[in-house]
Amino acid sequence: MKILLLLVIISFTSHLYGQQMIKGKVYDETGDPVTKVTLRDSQKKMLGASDSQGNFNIVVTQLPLWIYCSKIGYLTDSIYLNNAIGIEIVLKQSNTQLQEAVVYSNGFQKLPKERATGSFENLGNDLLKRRISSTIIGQLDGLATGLQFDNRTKSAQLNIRGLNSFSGGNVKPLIVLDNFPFEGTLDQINPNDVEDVTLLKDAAATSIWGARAGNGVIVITTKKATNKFKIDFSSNWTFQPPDDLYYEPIVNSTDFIDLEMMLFDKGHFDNQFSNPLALRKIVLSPVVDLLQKLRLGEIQQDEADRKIRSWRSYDYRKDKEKFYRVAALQQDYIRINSGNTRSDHSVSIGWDRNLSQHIKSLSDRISIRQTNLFDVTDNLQLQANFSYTSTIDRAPAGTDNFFYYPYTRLFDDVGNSITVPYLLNQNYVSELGAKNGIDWTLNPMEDLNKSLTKNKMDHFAANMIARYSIFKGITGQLIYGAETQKSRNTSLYEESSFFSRNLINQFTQQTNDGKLKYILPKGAIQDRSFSTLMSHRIRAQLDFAKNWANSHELNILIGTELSHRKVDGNSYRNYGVDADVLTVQKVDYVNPYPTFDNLYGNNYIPFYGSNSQNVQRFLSLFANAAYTFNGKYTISGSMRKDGSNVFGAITNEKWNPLWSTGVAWALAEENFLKDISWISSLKIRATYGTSGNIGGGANRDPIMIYNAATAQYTNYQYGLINTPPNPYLKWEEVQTFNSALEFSMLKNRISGSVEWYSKRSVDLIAPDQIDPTTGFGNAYRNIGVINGRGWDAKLSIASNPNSSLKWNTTFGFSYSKSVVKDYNGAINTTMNYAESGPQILNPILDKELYPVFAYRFEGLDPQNGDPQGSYKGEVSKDYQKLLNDSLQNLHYYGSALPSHYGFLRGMLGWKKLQFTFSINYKFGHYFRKRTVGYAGMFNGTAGHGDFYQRWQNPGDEKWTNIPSMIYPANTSRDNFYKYAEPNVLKGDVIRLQDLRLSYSFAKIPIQVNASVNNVGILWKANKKGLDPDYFSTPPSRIYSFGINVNF
Amino acid sequence: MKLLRNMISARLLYCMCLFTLMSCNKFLDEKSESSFVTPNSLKDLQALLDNNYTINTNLAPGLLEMNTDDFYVTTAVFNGLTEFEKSLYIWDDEPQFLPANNNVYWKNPFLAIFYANTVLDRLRKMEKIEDANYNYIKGSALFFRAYTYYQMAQVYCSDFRKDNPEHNNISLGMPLRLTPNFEEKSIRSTLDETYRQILNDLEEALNLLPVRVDFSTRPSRTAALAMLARVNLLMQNYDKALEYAEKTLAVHNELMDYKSRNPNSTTPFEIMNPETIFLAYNTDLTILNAKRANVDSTLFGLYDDGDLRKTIFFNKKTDGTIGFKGNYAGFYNSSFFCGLAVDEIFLIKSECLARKGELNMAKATLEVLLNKRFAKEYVFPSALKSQDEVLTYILQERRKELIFRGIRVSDLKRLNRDQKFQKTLVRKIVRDGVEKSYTLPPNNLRYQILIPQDVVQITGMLQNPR
Repeated sequence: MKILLLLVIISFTSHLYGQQMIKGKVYDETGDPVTKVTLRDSQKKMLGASDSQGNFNIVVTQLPLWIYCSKIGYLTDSIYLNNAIGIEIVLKQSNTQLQEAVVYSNGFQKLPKERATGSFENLGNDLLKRRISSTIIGQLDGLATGLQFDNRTKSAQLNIRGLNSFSGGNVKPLIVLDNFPFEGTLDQINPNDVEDVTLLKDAAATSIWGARAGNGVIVITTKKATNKFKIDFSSNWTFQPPDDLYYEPIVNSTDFIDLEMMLFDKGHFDNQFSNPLALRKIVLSPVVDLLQKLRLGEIQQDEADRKIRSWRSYDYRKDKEKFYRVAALQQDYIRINSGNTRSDHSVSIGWDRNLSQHIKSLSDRISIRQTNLFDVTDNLQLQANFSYTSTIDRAPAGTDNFFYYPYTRLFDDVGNSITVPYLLNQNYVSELGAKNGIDWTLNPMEDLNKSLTKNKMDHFAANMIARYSIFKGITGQLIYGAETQKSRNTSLYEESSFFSRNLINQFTQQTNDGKLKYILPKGAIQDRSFSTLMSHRIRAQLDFAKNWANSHELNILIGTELSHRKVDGNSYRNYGVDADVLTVQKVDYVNPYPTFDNLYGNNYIPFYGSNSQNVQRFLSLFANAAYTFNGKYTISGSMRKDGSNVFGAITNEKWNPLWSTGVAWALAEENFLKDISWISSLKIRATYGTSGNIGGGANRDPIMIYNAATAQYTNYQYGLINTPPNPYLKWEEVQTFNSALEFSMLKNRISGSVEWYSKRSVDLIAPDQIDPTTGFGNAYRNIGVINGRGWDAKLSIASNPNSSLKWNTTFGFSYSKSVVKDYNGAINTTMNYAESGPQILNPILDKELYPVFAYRFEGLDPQNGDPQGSYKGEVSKDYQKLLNDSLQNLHYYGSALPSHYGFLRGMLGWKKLQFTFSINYKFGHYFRKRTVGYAGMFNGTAGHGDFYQRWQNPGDEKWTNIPSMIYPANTSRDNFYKYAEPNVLKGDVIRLQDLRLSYSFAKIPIQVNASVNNVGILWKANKKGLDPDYFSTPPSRIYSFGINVNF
Repeated sequence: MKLLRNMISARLLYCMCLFTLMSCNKFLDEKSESSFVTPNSLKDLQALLDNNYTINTNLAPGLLEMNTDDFYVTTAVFNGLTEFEKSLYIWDDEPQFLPANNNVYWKNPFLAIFYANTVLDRLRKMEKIEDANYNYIKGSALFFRAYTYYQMAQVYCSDFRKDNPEHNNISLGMPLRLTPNFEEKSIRSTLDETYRQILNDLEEALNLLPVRVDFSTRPSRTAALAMLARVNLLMQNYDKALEYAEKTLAVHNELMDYKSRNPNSTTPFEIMNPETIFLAYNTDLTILNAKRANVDSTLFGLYDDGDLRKTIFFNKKTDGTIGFKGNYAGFYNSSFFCGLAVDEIFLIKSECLARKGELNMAKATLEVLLNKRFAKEYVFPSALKSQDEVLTYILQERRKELIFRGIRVSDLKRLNRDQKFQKTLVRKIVRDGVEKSYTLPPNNLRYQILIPQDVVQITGMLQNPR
């Protein structure tokens, strides 16, 4: 089909200085007005654009002429105008279906999907807003292929297509907000302000970001002003019950008490009572304390029995419940957009209030964003955006990390909070209270109210973009961005808080007349820290676009960027603070004072304070070009060179540019496929290139660091040398090959892509073991190599757009495996890998990162329930030898990160009702469950519930692997079992991530929705009831309700 | 044509960018971290040497106490020790150093040596300034290096034998690293070379250091003198040791009167107390913590009832065993003082005088010291007349005064050469219900602790013989 053109006479003509004004209106096929349609003459000179009602006014100097109307997503239309009468134009959408033209943003330019050779993935607004979250990162989990979320610590660690480095700080993707790497805290961005997110996965996509893009890039684009007058309002309520305190099975009180009594009888605690001076600092569990008193005759047998009987039924978790509540989050957001022919504006305000699960923790965020777009002249466009975010977090700074035994009580029978033994021996503490009037007790519940940490953060960002069409096809762009973030952190410990009392008491002296003298003044203690981030970025960029004879298309971008980022920080502490009038008292940091009752010898009043400044500067040159022939064949290339003050002069000198190159072939445009009507598009593409990862800087001379505070005894300034000089260090490099097939068929009802990539990360910085006689155990060198490869595949199927029952579903599959191919850095002990393997990166040659190892397990000894291992091929119980066996003899399972992961998400819509769901899966990884350790249990920490499945009688070894309890405990025996095969489990899991139901009213512009997140596990490989996605208790379900109003 | 123009302008811009890049090297020279510097000024070098966390606590490996007869642990405590400490305690042939042990007992003292070498190296590269600070810094670095090598030699090397140069020339010394250069290979010197280096450094430092310093964390001329007295005593250069001891006492002879010390305190002495000439303390070895280590009961029995040290140095645990608390570093933990103090110099002087045959002077010197240790006036036992008796008595007093000061092990090695003073150390542990005895005979090779296995593996340096 071709152009539909209608000329209707509805207006009048006007003559102005020999020029003629022509009015008109643009509609789409359904009759709705189309905004922002640009109108140009045959010289491509801009004549004007349609406004929010689709109306336009253009001034022409001569008639007749051809005018060209264009807008992304519509077919360009040309109209022959031969008189100055008003016109009406109908534009046709470029693709048959609602398919909007997909445009990738890499932070430098917008790239139409058709021309892209690299691996991009666009996550649109519809997808992002499915899950209600206060952070944008929270919305990305399980949305894209190749983007992995490691949630095990409950704070998400992201990686794109696997891990490319040996240090945790170096595996994170670069995050770009609008045009620049985001320097602030991501929590500062209100997800409602985000228009879309683009993932850059391969070298061609990321190379434009050079030395910072080795781990992939996440480009977040915020909503920009548009021409329409529009108001969006949304309000969401989210609720999350407290996490399950009973998730981890424990030894219950009555059994724990029996155990303590048994140990007491065996003399296990006698050592603690031997030295009365040392005993002052030993916290006893109430049972042990009671038994000792009974032994000394200080209490009667029946009283002891009565007390112990009452403790048997307690469970401290019941008391702990009172520290938690249902978390609630309320989000309100409004955005107003308006514009006229020459300028567009939008302003948005968001307010989030969050009550955390912990009863005294809450946070608030206010975000304001304003965007403006001005068409100053036909050639010059200006854009100015401002944003301001303010967050306040409050949390108690109280002491709640005290010694737990399963019958710990935090509240008495009538519900009043009570004290727990902490830090000093409880009898000593009560004696001090009675005799000297010194209060050294800890009441955890009360202590929550006596201290408060307030973290206030203000983030302000502004950027200005000037875009000027220099010649036809050449656009110059100048971008300036400024960002500042100030954070103020204040912790106030009231005089009666444990923190303050503990310090004041330590420095209390008893004078001869029995009075107390306070070396550390009474009053509250206040810790404050401040940090200010300031950054400036300037980018100059030239875009060149040219099309010859409709068959040659050339696009070139070159530019340079300068960035400067400075972080200042300082902190200090005040003693003797009067919280009402904020006066402080002076203290003597310089001289040592005897501590109370000589508990800690002579001591100095703790000094807390620092001053720091950090400057990061980058200077970069970049260029990128693409050439398309006949709309079918595209080749592309890019390069970037970075210099930075972080690397030092030597690295800057020898650094070669990072580059990439790619090809794409649009097969569907070829004659032999053009006639196959069910193929909508078919494209293959391949790229190869390099990108970098910032490592440490090289230095010829030793680098000395001045310590922020002066030395303890002398008050002299002092310096440290933490790393040996290293003139050869440079940054890490990631080489990526990517190939892909993209298709869509049946009028885009089925679409998808398959990508295969192979990566080689070289020059990875790792600690290389060196002669410790130098004074250093290792030096950082570019010695590591990781080889990675994998697949990303996606398939979407949609219903017929004309049916009233609409549905679509998308499957995403990712496979990624990275193996360390070169590493000769520090080797830890076998025990170290067995213990920490799953938790930290732990590079080992020929293994994946986060390697999971376990000691080979040969069952329990049928005689006594001892765990048995295998040493030199023989069954062994020499735990020392087993623990230190060569790592090769351990069972290597694989990585603790899933190699296969992906999602299935679906939508079902009927009329105005829409239902969506998403399911995530993770396969091919391992995790280690916790188990009982008798040595730890004997020292008073609550034991693991595996205790109940332990071997007790001969024959038990047939059904259990859990070793018998022995006294005295043997730490090596405990450790051997803890890190042995029976405790490594398969991590495979399928999880119903979220469900959402929404309804849009027909008559009023209102949409309501309800959703559940973290719905639950559908299937998991382990049979122990454990959630493999989390090291500790998994987060509970989240329920959300929302309302959106748009008009 | 237009295209050409565009291309030219594009190229121009690129050239401009390149130019900016070059001229902007200055822009990239900005220091990334304000507290980072290349140590180039005297102030920087002084700051490095004032890092008493790295230097004064790392000079001495905590292993110094392991081969002494001053303490023991019960079987229950023994069972709770790490394997490394267990095997040290029972004088295993090959205690296995784990990475953490390597760091504490080998790498960290060498880090102090690296600091000293870095300072000396940077000073050499500096224009020679006739500046008191220049000399002071140089003297300090030399002192620190000598002190560290001395302490390490006590742990890892055989004893110096004045009467047996052949032994000194074939026994393995420490690998002497004298520059901060990383490429240099670590090779063990001979025992003789090690001690010669220590003496050279100390003698050079002597002429560079000021007599007094504000804080005893910094070396002074007095410290160098005291150290020379100690090293010469150990090398059996008794005349020289006497000379240096006298020179030391001429500038610093202040003793604390224990009558004014609090016997109930777990820390009766404060850090940098008046007797301290140079402050250094051991790195931790958990076995030595007063909760675990009991003082040898025979040793405890040697203290008279009138001896204030009996209550100031020790406390009785409820089970009747004795714990040590008289730490000159002012702590009550397992980090013990191992620096230089005035009392040691009195004892060196007294011993050297006795060995010289000047018995009255020797007695008088000891009386000055012990007068400050007893509740009532102390008089040297008149019954002791012969040189042997006096010397034996003085050596016993030396042991009693300098307990847990990192000195006993060197004395044991030195005195084991003399038939009269030889002693076999015995430790007992109940294993599997049976009491087992472990012994360390005089002059046994196990007095030299093994070089950490990893160090031997990486450098190929020679291991101590077994």
